[in-house]
Amino acid sequence: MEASGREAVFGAKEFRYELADLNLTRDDVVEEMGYTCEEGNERGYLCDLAEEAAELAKSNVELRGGFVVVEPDRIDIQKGSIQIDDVVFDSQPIITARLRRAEGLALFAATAGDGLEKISKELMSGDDMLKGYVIDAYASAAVEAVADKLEAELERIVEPRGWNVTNRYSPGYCNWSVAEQSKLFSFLPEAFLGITLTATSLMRPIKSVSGVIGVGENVKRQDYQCAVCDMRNCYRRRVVQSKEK
Amino acid sequence: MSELLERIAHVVEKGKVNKAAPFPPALKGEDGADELTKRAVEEGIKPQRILNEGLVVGMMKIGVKFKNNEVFVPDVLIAAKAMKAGMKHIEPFFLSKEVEYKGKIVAGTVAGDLHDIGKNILSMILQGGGWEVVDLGIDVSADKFAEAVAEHKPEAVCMSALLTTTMVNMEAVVKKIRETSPETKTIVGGAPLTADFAKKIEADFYSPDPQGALEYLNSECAA
Ligand code: B12
Repeated sequence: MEASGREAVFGAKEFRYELADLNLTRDDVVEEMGYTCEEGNERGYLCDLAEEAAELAKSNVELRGGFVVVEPDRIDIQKGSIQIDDVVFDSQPIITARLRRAEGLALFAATAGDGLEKISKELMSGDDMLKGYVIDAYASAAVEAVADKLEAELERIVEPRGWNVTNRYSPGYCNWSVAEQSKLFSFLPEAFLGITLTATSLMRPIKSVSGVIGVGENVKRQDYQCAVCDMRNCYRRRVVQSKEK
Repeated sequence: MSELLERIAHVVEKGKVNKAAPFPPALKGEDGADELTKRAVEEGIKPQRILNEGLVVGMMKIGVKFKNNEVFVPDVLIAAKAMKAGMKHIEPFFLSKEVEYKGKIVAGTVAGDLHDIGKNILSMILQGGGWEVVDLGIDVSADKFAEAVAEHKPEAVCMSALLTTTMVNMEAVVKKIRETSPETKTIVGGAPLTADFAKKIEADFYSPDPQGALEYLNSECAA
């Protein structure tokens, strides 16, 4: 029982999605750019462009995500750092405070592929910057939606143990250095999801994300993400704040 | 006459490219930057005035709104498209020197970084402000920046980066430019940068937004 239970939770898992599987609407993409698709909106053309991007995406995204859940006995979480086996992540206090009560850790990556990136680049260097930008924003929203999906998969997998999940946290956020991505990828299978890291810790395809999610009985999700971030002049903060109003 | 220039500024700011363009809906069926600039040229308004008092004013307005978070990237891109449609009618006058740029800029995303949208928007806003921009693209090494500076003799070099792991590569560029072309200003920007970082690497100027760089150029470097 314990052995098969272990198998069901720990180790590497990979998922592939279709656009229709994602919780991603035209409105999400337009909000990503700072606007809304309300009725009578004078920027309705952005909503039309987002729909065009969605149409293009159907045959140009490759939505993949996956994670490795690391067993509790391999993990040591301190204030400001996380050790897994003999690798120490200098993930900084904001993040470790949120993972402190975790028992297991899921190291994840997700990607939307490079199809839209190529189309967007082409348009942006040519005559249609706006369409290129909307397609780029669509791809960004798509990979985030894949990561949302992964959180749900993880939740489903650990639920039988009575475990909850935290939010996801990424290298490059909350003072955790992007350079630590190489440590993170060292726990993922070789060429996981087709993602590669450059010497400057940039993932290719560009529309990819990586990070860690805590799992355990005493962890929980928090809804207000901007509160933990110190980037004051971020348009996301403005979008969140304008929604709250 | 100046009413026409004001109108040009307005349609650029609103992103009305030409009469047929569907957006913005409020200007449906009206002339856009294309038609109005053509008319201004035909009416004999000096092309330099059409540029400075029409097209550039429109881009400035949208740039300031963007800086103040009143509008977001899409509006800047549409305005730039309208500006471009108007510029088509002005461009021939660059050859005859009836119109001149304020100066020249070399721009690029630094080595190890492949992001170009931020740098593209920067370039558009500088062009929209009347500057000639030589865009070196992405993943540009210090040597390539230096070569471009030697070739184009720009007033300033603008560098962009989107990650903390790549912004550090700006330091080498600043150093190289300082050695090879001390009179060329170095301007840095991009999401992970701070004024402290820019100071540390001894760049001449940092701005979180392109408009800030444009204002600096206009006041410090314009001929
Ligand atoms: C959308 C987004 C994504 C998308 C798409 C990313 C992409 N590159 O296409 C996705 C979800 C895939 C993503 C992933 C990641 N991201 Co991200 N992302 C963003 C976000 C929210 C917006 C970026 C964007 O497109 N902005 C729009 C463009 C137009 O803005 P810009 O490039 O900054 O340019 C503007 C200004 O900076 C300025 N400017 C730019 N250059 C210059 C130059 C000069 C001279 C001047 C004056 C001005 C100037 O003018 C431009 C117009 O205003 C930013 C946060 C933010 N709010 O900026 C984080 C951000 C860039 N990401 C960040 C990080 C860390 C990551 C990841 C590493 C996280 C992870 N571990 O998964 C990955 C890396 C992906 C990879 N391939 O390696 C960090 C980078 C900072 C750092 N720590 O290094 C940021 C800043 C968020 C943060 N933590 O604060 N990301």
